[in-house]
Amino acid sequence: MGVRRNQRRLSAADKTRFVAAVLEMKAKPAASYGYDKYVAMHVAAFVGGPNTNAAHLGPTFFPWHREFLRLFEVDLQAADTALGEDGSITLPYWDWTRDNSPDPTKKAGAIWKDSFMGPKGNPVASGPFKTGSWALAPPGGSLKRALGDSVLDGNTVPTLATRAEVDAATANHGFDTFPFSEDSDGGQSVSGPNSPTAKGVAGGALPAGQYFVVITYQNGNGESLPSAPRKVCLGGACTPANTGTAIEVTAPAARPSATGYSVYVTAVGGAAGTETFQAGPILIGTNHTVTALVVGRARPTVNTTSSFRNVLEGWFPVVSRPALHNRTHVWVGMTMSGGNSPDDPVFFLHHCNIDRLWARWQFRHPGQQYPQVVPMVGIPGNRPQGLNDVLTPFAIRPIDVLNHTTLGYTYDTDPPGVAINVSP
Amino acid sequence: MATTHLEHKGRSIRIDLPEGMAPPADDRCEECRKKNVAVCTHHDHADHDHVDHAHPEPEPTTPMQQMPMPGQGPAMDPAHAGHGVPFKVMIDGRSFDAFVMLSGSFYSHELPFMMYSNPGDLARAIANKLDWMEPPDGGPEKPETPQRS
Repeated sequence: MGVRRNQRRLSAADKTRFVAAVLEMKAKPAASYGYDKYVAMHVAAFVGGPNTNAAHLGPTFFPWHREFLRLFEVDLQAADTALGEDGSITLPYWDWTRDNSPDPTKKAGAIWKDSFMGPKGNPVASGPFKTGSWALAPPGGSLKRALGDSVLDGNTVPTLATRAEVDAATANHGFDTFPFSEDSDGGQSVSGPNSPTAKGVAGGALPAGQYFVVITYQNGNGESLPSAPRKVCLGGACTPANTGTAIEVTAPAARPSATGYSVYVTAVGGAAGTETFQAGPILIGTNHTVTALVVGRARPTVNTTSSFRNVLEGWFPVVSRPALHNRTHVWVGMTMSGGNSPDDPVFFLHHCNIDRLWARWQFRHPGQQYPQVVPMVGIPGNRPQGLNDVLTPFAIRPIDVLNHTTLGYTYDTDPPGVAINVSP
Repeated sequence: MATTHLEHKGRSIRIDLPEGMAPPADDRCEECRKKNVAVCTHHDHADHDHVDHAHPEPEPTTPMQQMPMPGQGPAMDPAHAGHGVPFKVMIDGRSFDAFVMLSGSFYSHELPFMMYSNPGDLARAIANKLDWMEPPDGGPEKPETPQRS
Protein backbone atom coordinates (compact mmCIF):
# COMPACT_ATOMS: atom_id res chain seq x y z
CA MET A 1 0.00 0.00 0.00
CA GLY A 2 1.39 3.39 -0.97
CA VAL A 3 2.08 6.01 1.64
CA ARG A 4 1.38 9.63 0.78
CA ARG A 5 4.03 11.78 2.43
CA ASN A 6 4.57 15.42 3.28
CA GLN A 7 6.40 17.08 0.38
CA ARG A 8 8.88 18.59 2.83
CA ARG A 9 10.08 15.07 3.68
CA LEU A 10 10.74 14.09 0.06
CA SER A 11 14.36 13.71 -0.96
CA ALA A 12 15.73 15.63 -3.95
CA ALA A 13 15.52 12.40 -5.94
CA ASP A 14 11.88 11.93 -4.88
CA LYS A 15 11.02 15.41 -6.09
CA THR A 16 12.82 14.93 -9.39
CA ARG A 17 10.96 11.67 -9.92
CA PHE A 18 7.59 13.27 -9.14
CA VAL A 19 8.20 16.18 -11.53
CA ALA A 20 9.36 13.79 -14.26
CA ALA A 21 6.19 11.72 -13.93
CA VAL A 22 4.00 14.84 -14.09
CA LEU A 23 5.83 16.04 -17.22
CA GLU A 24 5.45 12.57 -18.73
CA MET A 25 1.69 12.75 -18.07
CA LYS A 26 1.59 16.16 -19.72
CA ALA A 27 3.10 14.72 -22.88
CA LYS A 28 0.47 12.04 -23.24
CA PRO A 29 -3.09 12.21 -24.64
CA ALA A 30 -6.16 11.75 -22.49
CA ALA A 31 -6.73 8.17 -23.62
CA SER A 32 -3.39 7.25 -22.14
CA TYR A 33 -2.30 8.68 -18.80
CA GLY A 34 -2.59 12.24 -20.04
CA TYR A 35 -2.62 15.20 -17.65
CA ASP A 36 -4.97 17.59 -19.41
CA LYS A 37 -8.09 15.47 -18.95
CA TYR A 38 -7.95 16.23 -15.23
CA VAL A 39 -8.16 19.93 -15.95
CA ALA A 40 -11.19 19.36 -18.18
CA MET A 41 -12.80 17.15 -15.54
CA HIS A 42 -12.46 19.83 -12.88
CA VAL A 43 -13.72 22.59 -15.17
CA ALA A 44 -16.77 20.43 -15.96
CA ALA A 45 -17.44 20.13 -12.25
CA PHE A 46 -18.17 23.87 -12.24
CA VAL A 47 -20.16 24.31 -15.43
CA GLY A 48 -22.69 22.16 -17.21
CA GLY A 49 -26.03 20.57 -16.66
CA PRO A 50 -28.11 19.57 -13.66
CA ASN A 51 -25.18 17.85 -11.98
CA THR A 52 -23.20 21.05 -12.16
CA ASN A 53 -20.72 21.72 -9.43
CA ALA A 54 -20.89 18.28 -7.93
CA ALA A 55 -17.35 18.78 -6.69
CA HIS A 56 -17.82 21.86 -4.53
CA LEU A 57 -20.21 23.66 -2.22
CA GLY A 58 -21.67 20.48 -0.79
CA PRO A 59 -20.91 17.17 0.92
CA THR A 60 -19.43 15.60 -2.22
CA PHE A 61 -16.53 18.04 -2.00
CA PHE A 62 -14.46 15.42 -0.19
CA PRO A 63 -15.41 12.18 -1.96
CA TRP A 64 -15.34 13.78 -5.43
CA HIS A 65 -11.81 15.05 -4.94
CA ARG A 66 -10.71 11.80 -3.28
CA GLU A 67 -11.65 9.85 -6.41
CA PHE A 68 -10.20 12.58 -8.63
CA LEU A 69 -6.84 12.31 -6.85
CA ARG A 70 -6.93 8.52 -6.83
CA LEU A 71 -7.36 8.41 -10.62
CA PHE A 72 -4.60 10.98 -11.04
CA GLU A 73 -2.30 8.94 -8.83
CA VAL A 74 -2.95 5.80 -10.89
CA ASP A 75 -1.96 7.71 -14.04
CA LEU A 76 1.05 9.17 -12.24
CA GLN A 77 2.18 5.66 -11.41
CA ALA A 78 1.71 4.60 -15.05
CA ALA A 79 3.89 7.52 -16.12
CA ASP A 80 6.44 6.58 -13.48
CA THR A 81 6.56 3.03 -14.86
CA ALA A 82 6.92 4.32 -18.40
CA LEU A 83 9.99 6.23 -17.27
CA GLY A 84 11.63 3.02 -16.06
CA GLU A 85 10.73 3.33 -12.38
CA ASP A 86 8.73 0.75 -10.44
CA GLY A 87 5.44 2.67 -10.43
CA SER A 88 5.35 2.96 -6.67
CA ILE A 89 5.25 6.75 -6.67
CA THR A 90 2.54 8.41 -4.59
CA LEU A 91 1.11 11.90 -4.40
CA PRO A 92 2.83 14.11 -1.84
CA TYR A 93 0.83 16.59 0.20
CA TRP A 94 1.51 20.25 0.92
CA ASP A 95 0.85 21.24 4.52
CA TRP A 96 0.36 24.96 3.90
CA THR A 97 0.04 25.72 7.62
CA ARG A 98 3.75 24.99 7.96
CA ASP A 99 5.16 25.56 4.50
CA ASN A 100 3.57 28.95 4.16
CA SER A 101 6.22 31.19 2.65
CA PRO A 102 6.27 32.33 -0.98
CA ASP A 103 10.06 32.66 -0.79
CA PRO A 104 11.86 29.60 -2.25
CA THR A 105 15.06 30.52 -0.40
CA LYS A 106 13.35 29.91 2.95
CA LYS A 107 12.69 26.46 4.34
CA ALA A 108 8.97 27.21 4.60
CA GLY A 109 9.00 28.15 0.90
CA ALA A 110 11.15 25.31 -0.41
CA ILE A 111 8.19 23.88 -2.33
CA TRP A 112 8.61 26.79 -4.77
CA LYS A 113 12.21 25.99 -5.67
CA ASP A 114 13.06 25.51 -9.34
CA SER A 115 13.78 21.87 -8.59
CA PHE A 116 10.17 21.24 -7.60
CA MET A 117 7.09 23.39 -8.19
CA GLY A 118 8.91 26.53 -9.33
CA PRO A 119 8.25 30.09 -8.14
CA LYS A 120 5.59 32.76 -8.58
CA GLY A 121 5.38 34.77 -11.75
CA ASN A 122 3.23 36.19 -14.55
CA PRO A 123 4.05 33.88 -16.17
CA VAL A 124 6.15 31.49 -14.10
CA ALA A 125 9.59 31.96 -15.64
CA SER A 126 11.70 29.19 -14.11
CA GLY A 127 11.39 25.65 -12.86
CA PRO A 128 9.87 22.62 -14.58
CA PHE A 129 6.54 24.33 -15.23
CA LYS A 130 7.87 27.59 -16.65
CA THR A 131 6.38 29.20 -19.72
CA GLY A 132 7.55 27.41 -22.83
CA SER A 133 7.95 24.13 -20.98
CA TRP A 134 4.44 23.81 -19.54
CA ALA A 135 1.34 24.78 -21.51
CA LEU A 136 -2.02 24.95 -19.85
CA ALA A 137 -4.73 22.59 -21.09
CA PRO A 138 -6.73 23.89 -24.08
CA PRO A 139 -7.30 26.72 -24.80
CA GLY A 140 -3.72 26.98 -23.59
CA GLY A 141 -1.60 29.68 -22.02
CA SER A 142 1.16 29.82 -19.44
CA LEU A 143 1.14 28.95 -15.77
CA LYS A 144 0.79 31.99 -13.51
CA ARG A 145 1.08 32.28 -9.74
CA ALA A 146 0.85 35.15 -7.28
CA LEU A 147 1.70 33.42 -3.98
CA GLY A 148 0.04 36.23 -2.04
CA ASP A 149 1.48 39.04 -4.18
CA SER A 150 -1.34 41.48 -4.89
CA VAL A 151 0.73 43.21 -7.57
CA LEU A 152 0.51 40.03 -9.63
CA ASP A 153 -3.10 39.21 -8.73
CA GLY A 154 -5.30 41.89 -7.24
CA ASN A 155 -7.62 39.21 -5.89
CA THR A 156 -5.09 37.30 -3.81
CA VAL A 157 -4.86 37.14 -0.02
CA PRO A 158 -1.54 37.74 1.74
CA THR A 159 -1.45 34.74 4.07
CA LEU A 160 -2.42 31.08 4.22
CA ALA A 161 -4.53 29.41 6.90
CA THR A 162 -2.93 28.50 10.22
CA ARG A 163 -2.59 25.27 12.16
CA ALA A 164 -5.09 26.62 14.71
CA GLU A 165 -7.67 27.12 11.97
CA VAL A 166 -7.17 23.55 10.76
CA ASP A 167 -7.49 22.25 14.32
CA ALA A 168 -10.71 24.21 14.79
CA ALA A 169 -12.08 22.78 11.56
CA THR A 170 -11.32 19.17 12.45
CA ALA A 171 -12.88 19.70 15.88
CA ASN A 172 -16.30 19.96 14.22
CA HIS A 173 -18.09 16.76 15.08
CA GLY A 174 -20.48 16.84 12.16
CA PHE A 175 -19.49 16.02 8.59
CA ASP A 176 -22.06 18.28 6.94
CA THR A 177 -25.42 19.74 7.72
CA PHE A 178 -28.42 21.44 6.14
CA PRO A 179 -28.52 23.31 3.78
CA PHE A 180 -25.44 21.41 2.52
CA SER A 181 -23.98 24.48 0.89
CA GLU A 182 -21.73 27.46 1.60
CA ASP A 183 -24.23 28.32 4.34
CA SER A 184 -23.81 25.14 6.38
CA ASP A 185 -23.00 25.93 9.95
CA GLY A 186 -19.73 25.38 11.73
CA GLY A 187 -18.92 25.53 15.41
CA GLN A 188 -19.86 23.19 18.17
CA SER A 189 -21.34 25.07 21.10
CA VAL A 190 -25.07 24.90 21.49
CA SER A 191 -27.28 25.70 24.42
CA GLY A 192 -30.93 26.32 24.93
CA PRO A 193 -34.16 24.83 26.22
CA ASN A 194 -34.55 21.25 27.35
CA SER A 195 -34.50 18.61 24.67
CA PRO A 196 -37.80 17.23 23.46
CA THR A 197 -38.51 13.55 22.93
CA ALA A 198 -40.31 11.93 20.04
CA LYS A 199 -42.20 8.72 20.73
CA GLY A 200 -44.17 6.58 18.36
CA VAL A 201 -45.97 3.34 17.74
CA ALA A 202 -44.33 0.81 15.50
CA GLY A 203 -45.74 -0.15 12.16
CA GLY A 204 -47.96 2.48 10.65
CA ALA A 205 -47.88 2.71 6.90
CA LEU A 206 -44.28 1.63 6.56
CA PRO A 207 -43.34 -1.99 6.15
CA ALA A 208 -41.42 -3.81 8.83
CA GLY A 209 -37.78 -2.99 8.80
CA GLN A 210 -35.11 -0.65 10.09
CA TYR A 211 -35.42 3.11 10.02
CA PHE A 212 -33.46 6.14 11.06
CA VAL A 213 -35.20 8.78 13.15
CA VAL A 214 -33.82 12.30 13.37
CA ILE A 215 -35.11 15.32 15.28
CA THR A 216 -34.14 18.60 13.67
CA TYR A 217 -34.52 22.04 15.21
CA GLN A 218 -35.58 24.95 13.08
CA ASN A 219 -35.62 28.69 13.50
CA GLY A 220 -36.68 31.72 11.56
CA ASN A 221 -33.20 32.18 10.14
CA GLY A 222 -33.24 28.83 8.43
CA GLU A 223 -30.79 27.34 10.88
CA SER A 224 -31.14 23.71 11.71
CA LEU A 225 -29.68 21.43 14.33
CA PRO A 226 -30.35 17.74 13.80
CA SER A 227 -29.92 14.99 16.35
CA ALA A 228 -27.75 12.00 15.66
CA PRO A 229 -29.85 9.40 13.81
CA ARG A 230 -31.27 6.68 16.00
CA LYS A 231 -31.73 3.36 14.26
CA VAL A 232 -35.10 1.82 15.14
CA CYS A 233 -36.74 -1.40 14.09
CA LEU A 234 -40.42 -1.63 13.15
CA GLY A 235 -42.46 -4.81 12.88
CA GLY A 236 -42.86 -8.14 14.62
CA ALA A 237 -39.71 -9.64 13.16
CA CYS A 238 -37.46 -7.12 14.83
CA THR A 239 -34.58 -8.15 16.97
CA PRO A 240 -34.82 -7.22 19.73
CA ALA A 241 -38.57 -7.68 19.61
CA ASN A 242 -40.52 -4.54 18.91
CA THR A 243 -42.33 -3.33 21.97
CA GLY A 244 -44.76 -1.00 20.28
CA THR A 245 -42.84 2.07 21.31
CA ALA A 246 -39.77 1.58 19.21
CA ILE A 247 -39.38 5.20 18.21
CA GLU A 248 -37.99 7.21 21.04
CA VAL A 249 -35.37 9.77 20.20
CA THR A 250 -34.22 12.69 22.28
CA ALA A 251 -33.02 15.72 20.40
CA PRO A 252 -29.82 17.58 21.12
CA ALA A 253 -30.05 20.77 23.13
CA ALA A 254 -31.56 23.54 21.09
CA ARG A 255 -30.11 26.95 20.39
CA PRO A 256 -31.91 29.79 22.14
CA SER A 257 -33.18 30.94 18.75
CA ALA A 258 -34.91 27.64 17.97
CA THR A 259 -38.62 28.05 17.31
CA GLY A 260 -39.63 24.45 16.69
CA TYR A 261 -38.51 21.04 15.62
CA SER A 262 -39.37 18.39 13.08
CA VAL A 263 -39.09 14.63 13.06
CA TYR A 264 -37.75 12.76 10.05
CA VAL A 265 -37.95 9.03 9.46
CA THR A 266 -35.87 7.36 6.76
CA ALA A 267 -35.48 3.77 5.65
CA VAL A 268 -32.02 2.46 6.41
CA GLY A 269 -30.07 2.61 3.19
CA GLY A 270 -31.34 6.04 2.33
CA ALA A 271 -33.38 5.12 -0.73
CA ALA A 272 -35.02 8.25 -2.10
CA GLY A 273 -38.73 8.63 -1.41
CA THR A 274 -38.81 6.48 1.67
CA GLU A 275 -38.46 9.38 4.02
CA THR A 276 -41.34 11.03 5.77
CA PHE A 277 -41.65 14.32 7.54
CA GLN A 278 -43.69 14.14 10.72
CA ALA A 279 -46.08 16.91 11.66
CA GLY A 280 -43.68 19.76 12.04
CA PRO A 281 -42.66 22.22 13.03
CA ILE A 282 -43.54 21.25 16.57
CA LEU A 283 -43.27 23.82 19.34
CA ILE A 284 -40.20 23.75 21.53
CA GLY A 285 -40.91 22.09 24.85
CA THR A 286 -43.58 19.81 23.38
CA ASN A 287 -42.96 16.12 23.05
CA HIS A 288 -44.20 14.53 19.87
CA THR A 289 -45.93 11.24 19.24
CA VAL A 290 -45.46 9.66 15.83
CA THR A 291 -48.88 8.37 14.89
CA ALA A 292 -48.37 7.43 11.27
CA LEU A 293 -45.42 6.86 9.02
CA VAL A 294 -46.28 7.78 5.48
CA VAL A 295 -43.93 7.51 2.56
CA GLY A 296 -43.25 11.03 1.49
CA ARG A 297 -40.87 13.47 -0.08
CA ALA A 298 -37.21 12.98 0.62
CA ARG A 299 -35.93 15.15 3.42
CA PRO A 300 -32.44 15.73 4.69
CA THR A 301 -31.18 12.92 6.83
CA VAL A 302 -28.29 14.67 8.40
CA ASN A 303 -26.84 13.27 11.53
CA THR A 304 -24.57 16.10 12.45
CA THR A 305 -24.63 19.34 14.33
CA SER A 306 -22.09 21.22 12.27
CA SER A 307 -20.33 21.05 8.97
CA PHE A 308 -16.67 20.05 8.99
CA ARG A 309 -17.00 20.03 5.20
CA ASN A 310 -18.07 23.65 4.92
CA VAL A 311 -15.46 24.84 7.40
CA LEU A 312 -12.56 23.07 5.70
CA GLU A 313 -13.81 23.91 2.22
CA GLY A 314 -13.50 27.49 3.37
CA TRP A 315 -16.91 29.17 3.22
CA PHE A 316 -17.39 29.45 6.98
CA PRO A 317 -17.83 31.76 8.86
CA VAL A 318 -18.07 34.50 6.18
CA VAL A 319 -18.29 33.44 2.55
CA SER A 320 -16.57 36.60 1.34
CA ARG A 321 -13.44 35.78 3.35
CA PRO A 322 -11.89 32.68 1.81
CA ALA A 323 -10.64 30.27 4.46
CA LEU A 324 -8.63 27.05 4.56
CA HIS A 325 -9.07 25.18 1.23
CA ASN A 326 -10.47 28.19 -0.61
CA ARG A 327 -7.81 30.44 0.85
CA THR A 328 -4.98 28.35 -0.56
CA HIS A 329 -6.49 28.56 -4.04
CA VAL A 330 -6.82 32.33 -3.70
CA TRP A 331 -3.33 32.76 -2.16
CA VAL A 332 -1.57 30.83 -4.92
CA GLY A 333 -3.83 32.85 -7.16
CA MET A 334 -4.04 33.35 -10.90
CA THR A 335 -4.15 29.89 -12.54
CA MET A 336 -5.03 28.29 -9.19
CA SER A 337 -7.92 30.71 -8.60
CA GLY A 338 -10.12 29.40 -11.43
CA GLY A 339 -12.00 26.24 -12.30
CA ASN A 340 -8.94 25.18 -14.32
CA SER A 341 -6.85 25.19 -11.14
CA PRO A 342 -5.49 21.65 -11.83
CA ASP A 343 -3.51 23.34 -14.61
CA ASP A 344 -1.11 24.16 -11.78
CA PRO A 345 0.47 20.90 -10.56
CA VAL A 346 0.51 22.26 -7.02
CA PHE A 347 -3.27 21.72 -7.10
CA PHE A 348 -2.67 18.02 -6.50
CA LEU A 349 -0.39 18.62 -3.52
CA HIS A 350 -2.95 21.02 -2.07
CA HIS A 351 -5.87 18.64 -2.48
CA CYS A 352 -3.81 15.73 -1.24
CA ASN A 353 -3.52 17.72 1.99
CA ILE A 354 -7.29 18.34 2.01
CA ASP A 355 -7.88 14.61 1.57
CA ARG A 356 -5.44 13.91 4.40
CA LEU A 357 -7.33 16.29 6.66
CA TRP A 358 -10.60 14.51 5.85
CA ALA A 359 -8.95 11.25 6.89
CA ARG A 360 -7.64 12.93 10.04
CA TRP A 361 -11.17 14.11 10.84
CA GLN A 362 -12.52 10.58 10.25
CA PHE A 363 -10.02 9.10 12.69
CA ARG A 364 -11.02 11.71 15.24
CA HIS A 365 -14.79 11.28 14.74
CA PRO A 366 -15.39 7.59 14.06
CA GLY A 367 -18.65 6.43 12.54
CA GLN A 368 -20.47 6.95 9.27
CA GLN A 369 -21.52 10.58 9.19
CA TYR A 370 -21.95 11.20 5.48
CA PRO A 371 -25.59 12.27 4.83
CA GLN A 372 -27.80 9.47 3.55
CA VAL A 373 -29.89 11.82 1.43
CA VAL A 374 -29.23 15.39 0.38
CA PRO A 375 -32.33 17.33 -0.62
CA MET A 376 -32.78 18.07 -4.30
CA VAL A 377 -33.93 21.56 -3.46
CA GLY A 378 -32.26 24.81 -2.69
CA ILE A 379 -29.18 26.38 -4.14
CA PRO A 380 -26.70 24.98 -4.98
CA GLY A 381 -28.09 21.64 -3.86
CA ASN A 382 -29.77 20.83 -7.12
CA ARG A 383 -27.84 17.64 -7.72
CA PRO A 384 -27.73 14.29 -5.99
CA GLN A 385 -25.07 14.20 -3.31
CA GLY A 386 -26.32 11.50 -0.97
CA LEU A 387 -24.31 8.58 0.31
CA ASN A 388 -25.40 6.27 -2.51
CA ASP A 389 -25.60 8.76 -5.38
CA VAL A 390 -23.14 8.33 -8.24
CA LEU A 391 -20.61 11.12 -8.46
CA THR A 392 -20.36 12.76 -11.87
CA PRO A 393 -18.32 11.91 -13.93
CA PHE A 394 -17.08 8.93 -11.92
CA ALA A 395 -18.67 5.51 -11.55
CA ILE A 396 -18.41 5.62 -7.78
CA ARG A 397 -20.59 6.79 -4.89
CA PRO A 398 -19.49 8.58 -1.74
CA ILE A 399 -19.98 5.34 0.21
CA ASP A 400 -17.32 3.70 -1.97
CA VAL A 401 -14.54 6.08 -0.96
CA LEU A 402 -15.21 6.84 2.69
CA ASN A 403 -12.30 4.70 3.86
CA HIS A 404 -9.12 5.79 2.09
CA THR A 405 -7.17 2.77 3.35
CA THR A 406 -9.33 0.53 1.14
CA LEU A 407 -8.29 2.55 -1.91
CA GLY A 408 -4.65 1.54 -1.83
CA TYR A 409 -3.01 4.33 0.14
CA THR A 410 -2.44 5.72 3.60
CA TYR A 411 -1.00 8.96 4.93
CA ASP A 412 2.17 9.24 6.94
CA THR A 413 0.06 11.02 9.55
CA ASP A 414 -2.52 8.23 9.95
CA PRO A 415 -2.48 6.99 13.56
CA PRO A 416 -0.57 3.69 13.61
CA GLY A 417 -2.55 0.61 14.55
CA VAL A 418 -5.92 2.36 14.34
CA ALA A 419 -8.45 1.16 11.78
CA ILE A 420 -10.60 3.86 10.28
CA ASN A 421 -14.25 3.44 11.27
CA VAL A 422 -16.89 4.64 8.86
CA SER A 423 -19.62 2.23 9.98
CA PRO A 424 -23.13 3.52 10.79
CA MET B 1 -33.45 44.45 -15.19
CA ALA B 2 -31.53 47.03 -13.18
CA THR B 3 -28.32 48.18 -14.82
CA THR B 4 -25.39 49.72 -12.99
CA HIS B 5 -22.20 51.10 -14.53
CA LEU B 6 -18.87 51.14 -12.72
CA GLU B 7 -15.29 51.81 -13.66
CA HIS B 8 -12.33 49.93 -12.23
CA LYS B 9 -8.72 50.42 -13.25
CA GLY B 10 -9.80 51.95 -16.53
CA ARG B 11 -12.16 49.12 -17.35
CA SER B 12 -15.81 49.72 -18.07
CA ILE B 13 -18.09 47.49 -16.00
CA ARG B 14 -21.81 47.00 -16.54
CA ILE B 15 -23.88 44.94 -14.11
CA ASP B 16 -27.36 43.78 -15.07
CA LEU B 17 -29.14 42.66 -11.92
CA PRO B 18 -32.60 41.15 -11.64
CA GLU B 19 -35.29 43.77 -11.15
CA GLY B 20 -35.72 44.80 -7.55
CA MET B 21 -32.23 44.02 -6.40
CA ALA B 22 -30.17 46.67 -4.69
CA PRO B 23 -27.44 48.28 -6.81
CA PRO B 24 -23.90 47.30 -5.89
CA ALA B 25 -22.46 49.08 -2.91
CA ASP B 26 -18.87 50.23 -2.73
CA ASP B 27 -18.03 49.93 0.93
CA ARG B 28 -14.28 49.87 0.40
CA CYS B 29 -12.18 52.28 2.39
CA GLU B 30 -10.48 55.20 0.70
CA GLU B 31 -7.11 53.47 0.61
CA CYS B 32 -8.47 50.38 -1.08
CA ARG B 33 -10.16 52.53 -3.67
CA LYS B 34 -6.90 54.38 -4.34
CA LYS B 35 -5.03 51.10 -4.65
CA ASN B 36 -7.73 49.61 -6.86
CA VAL B 37 -8.07 46.65 -4.54
CA ALA B 38 -11.21 44.75 -5.51
CA VAL B 39 -12.27 43.81 -1.99
CA CYS B 40 -11.14 45.33 1.31
CA THR B 41 -9.58 42.58 3.37
CA HIS B 42 -7.48 44.60 5.81
CA HIS B 43 -8.30 42.19 8.55
CA ASP B 44 -6.11 39.71 6.77
CA HIS B 45 -3.33 42.06 5.72
CA ALA B 46 -0.61 41.73 8.31
CA ASP B 47 1.47 44.19 6.32
CA HIS B 48 -1.37 46.59 5.67
CA ASP B 49 -0.41 50.05 6.74
CA HIS B 50 -3.83 51.00 8.03
CA VAL B 51 -4.65 47.86 9.89
CA ASP B 52 -5.54 49.91 12.94
CA HIS B 53 -8.29 51.79 11.19
CA ALA B 54 -11.81 51.07 12.26
CA HIS B 55 -12.93 48.25 10.04
CA PRO B 56 -16.03 46.53 11.30
CA GLU B 57 -16.15 42.79 10.84
CA PRO B 58 -17.56 42.26 7.36
CA GLU B 59 -21.04 40.89 7.51
CA PRO B 60 -22.39 39.11 4.48
CA THR B 61 -25.18 41.16 3.04
CA THR B 62 -28.36 39.16 2.92
CA PRO B 63 -30.73 40.57 0.38
CA MET B 64 -32.97 37.56 0.80
CA GLN B 65 -36.06 39.71 0.93
CA GLN B 66 -35.07 41.43 -2.29
CA MET B 67 -34.04 38.33 -4.13
CA PRO B 68 -36.55 36.51 -6.32
CA MET B 69 -36.80 32.91 -5.21
CA PRO B 70 -36.35 30.18 -7.80
CA GLY B 71 -39.37 30.05 -10.01
CA GLN B 72 -40.56 33.49 -8.92
CA GLY B 73 -37.94 35.71 -10.49
CA PRO B 74 -36.51 36.07 -13.97
CA ALA B 75 -36.69 33.01 -16.18
CA MET B 76 -33.77 30.74 -15.42
CA ASP B 77 -31.74 28.96 -18.03
CA PRO B 78 -32.19 25.26 -17.22
CA ALA B 79 -28.45 24.80 -17.54
CA HIS B 80 -28.07 27.21 -14.64
CA ALA B 81 -30.72 25.72 -12.40
CA GLY B 82 -29.31 25.13 -8.98
CA HIS B 83 -26.92 28.05 -9.11
CA GLY B 84 -29.11 30.82 -7.82
CA VAL B 85 -30.50 33.76 -9.71
CA PRO B 86 -28.33 34.48 -12.74
CA PHE B 87 -27.20 37.91 -13.81
CA LYS B 88 -24.63 39.37 -16.18
CA VAL B 89 -21.43 41.28 -15.68
CA MET B 90 -20.02 43.01 -18.78
CA ILE B 91 -16.42 44.18 -18.67
CA ASP B 92 -15.01 46.04 -21.66
CA GLY B 93 -17.65 44.34 -23.77
CA ARG B 94 -17.00 40.81 -22.50
CA SER B 95 -19.90 39.07 -20.81
CA PHE B 96 -19.55 36.96 -17.68
CA ASP B 97 -22.22 34.83 -16.03
CA ALA B 98 -22.75 35.48 -12.34
CA PHE B 99 -25.24 34.31 -9.75
CA VAL B 100 -26.94 35.53 -6.60
CA MET B 101 -26.76 32.62 -4.19
CA LEU B 102 -29.58 31.88 -1.77
CA SER B 103 -27.34 33.23 0.98
CA GLY B 104 -27.36 36.58 -0.79
CA SER B 105 -23.71 36.31 -1.80
CA PHE B 106 -22.53 36.95 -5.34
CA TYR B 107 -20.67 34.27 -7.25
CA SER B 108 -19.14 33.55 -10.63
CA HIS B 109 -17.44 30.50 -12.06
CA GLU B 110 -14.64 32.86 -13.08
CA LEU B 111 -13.51 32.94 -9.44
CA PRO B 112 -15.08 29.82 -7.93
CA PHE B 113 -13.21 29.90 -4.61
CA MET B 114 -14.57 33.28 -3.59
CA MET B 115 -17.99 34.78 -2.98
CA TYR B 116 -18.62 38.48 -2.67
CA SER B 117 -20.90 40.50 -0.46
CA ASN B 118 -22.06 42.77 -3.27
CA PRO B 119 -22.07 42.60 -7.07
CA GLY B 120 -19.63 45.50 -7.38
CA ASP B 121 -16.94 43.57 -5.49
CA LEU B 122 -17.52 40.57 -7.75
CA ALA B 123 -17.34 42.66 -10.90
CA ARG B 124 -14.11 44.36 -9.77
CA ALA B 125 -12.57 41.00 -8.93
CA ILE B 126 -13.39 39.68 -12.41
CA ALA B 127 -11.92 42.86 -13.86
CA ASN B 128 -8.73 42.25 -11.85
CA LYS B 129 -8.53 38.77 -13.35
CA LEU B 130 -8.53 40.30 -16.82
CA ASP B 131 -5.24 41.98 -15.90
CA TRP B 132 -3.45 38.65 -16.19
CA MET B 133 -5.82 36.49 -18.23
CA GLU B 134 -4.83 35.50 -21.72
CA PRO B 135 -6.79 37.52 -24.29
CA PRO B 136 -9.64 35.31 -25.53
CA ASP B 137 -8.73 35.73 -29.20
CA GLY B 138 -5.07 36.58 -28.94
CA GLY B 139 -5.82 40.23 -29.56
CA PRO B 140 -5.32 43.19 -27.24
CA GLU B 141 -7.04 42.53 -23.95
CA LYS B 142 -7.37 46.02 -22.55
CA PRO B 143 -8.37 49.07 -24.56
CA GLU B 144 -5.81 51.85 -24.53
CA THR B 145 -8.49 54.41 -23.89
CA PRO B 146 -10.77 53.48 -21.02
CA GLN B 147 -14.33 53.10 -22.16
CA ARG B 148 -16.80 55.23 -20.34
CA SER B 149 -20.46 54.54 -20.19
